[in-house]
Amino acid sequence: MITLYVNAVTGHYTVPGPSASGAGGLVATFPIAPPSTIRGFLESLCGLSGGQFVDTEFTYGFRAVPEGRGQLLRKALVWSSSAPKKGTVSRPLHYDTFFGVRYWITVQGDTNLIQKALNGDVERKIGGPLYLGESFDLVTSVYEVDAVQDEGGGCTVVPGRAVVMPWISGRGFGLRNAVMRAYALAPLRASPTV
Amino acid sequence: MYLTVLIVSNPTLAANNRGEGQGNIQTLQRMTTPTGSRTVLNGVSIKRAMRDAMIANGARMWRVNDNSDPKGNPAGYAYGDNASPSIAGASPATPDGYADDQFGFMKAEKDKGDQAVKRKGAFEVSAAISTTNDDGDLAFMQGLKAAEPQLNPFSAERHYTRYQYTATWDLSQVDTESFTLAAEALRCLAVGGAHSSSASEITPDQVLWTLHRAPGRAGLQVGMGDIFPPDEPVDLSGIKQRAEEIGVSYNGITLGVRGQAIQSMIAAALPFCKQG
Repeated sequence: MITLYVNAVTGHYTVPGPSASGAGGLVATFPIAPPSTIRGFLESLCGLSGGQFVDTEFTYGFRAVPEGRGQLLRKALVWSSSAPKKGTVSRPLHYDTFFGVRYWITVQGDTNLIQKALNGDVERKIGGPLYLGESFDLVTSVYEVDAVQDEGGGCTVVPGRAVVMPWISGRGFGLRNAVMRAYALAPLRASPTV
Repeated sequence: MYLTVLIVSNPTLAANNRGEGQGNIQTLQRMTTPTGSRTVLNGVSIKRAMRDAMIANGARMWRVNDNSDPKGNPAGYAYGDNASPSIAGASPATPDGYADDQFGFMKAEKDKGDQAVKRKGAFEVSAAISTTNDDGDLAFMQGLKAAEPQLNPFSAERHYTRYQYTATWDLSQVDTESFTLAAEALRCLAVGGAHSSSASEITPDQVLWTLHRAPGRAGLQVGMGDIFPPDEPVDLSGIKQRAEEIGVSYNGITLGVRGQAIQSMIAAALPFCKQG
């Protein structure tokens, strides 16, 4: 079992479905990165493609409440069905964003691969900087720790009824639907087990 | 090999407006924290400023912005050597070999199996966050309506502060020339807002950079407790120490000042770039 601390400058985890583009409004975020996002992050760290991180379990949460929250204005392409609207129309949208996010992730399974990844000994064929969320959600630190410490308002993602988030991400436009599950954010307890 | 750089800027007047107006007040983009409000420069705006600087320095770009499009494309951008108004009609079809290939690419169409329609960028930049709380300063301005000879008063939020932001390159995926052009652009960025008078000049005051073999292992991050007022010298030694405490030591962490740090960073990173 290995426990990681992950720090990122920002975090936006788009709630899938009809976008806010029609109203020029707010693109909502999940209250925490969904399990599918964490899985994708671990796969990217280890140089794996999507869905390759098998026989591994993880649990995770915030070590502390994100340091800030705000809205970032970006232009997004307007899509209809499976293609962008003719003329490449883009509209301004506000992305609900967390700032200063600090995660803990405990992984049970192929921890040797994660150790190798932390040492830079895995080949990342897709490569690129590491991010957790969108590409602007740059990860600045990922390192191993012995135990999780609550740094102020930490939480653990557990099965519950508070929020429905994707367990397995979808691919959109009818290619593959996301597998959604219900979760809650429980107060962080020291040394959580998988 | 990865290169991560943390930059704390010289004091600047933030004018990255178009967050959302309140009445006739142009507002800054901001985030709320338990101890106050910080203004933010969007990572998209920083990338746009880098593009503008790279074009000004003679970079060969696949996507040109509206201010440099020879056809005056009303959509704002032109793609490829044929200056197509849409990605679909661009020739060549992808930015391979162009200086902006490092920013990533996506052709917005339905995934066609193995056909590559998107590629991750070799370079990413975070949002820039002010190092002090926003005091709510307002500038009183007047706008001229083109159709009628009258002045319309409005106000615009301003924030005199420093900004800090982080950027990372995957050096194995960017060639030496493109990397140099992008890194040199960090010397001076005109991060724009909604109006020509709204460009915030972001120039580095203090630069922390590190080379690291594993992604996400830079450890360079500024927290809300790291406050750097515009009228006081910046001391990043605490951030450097925190990074070293979590084991970031490969090639060390270099603390530098202004252009000298950018120069030394480029020189150290070039051997790890994609050669040929």
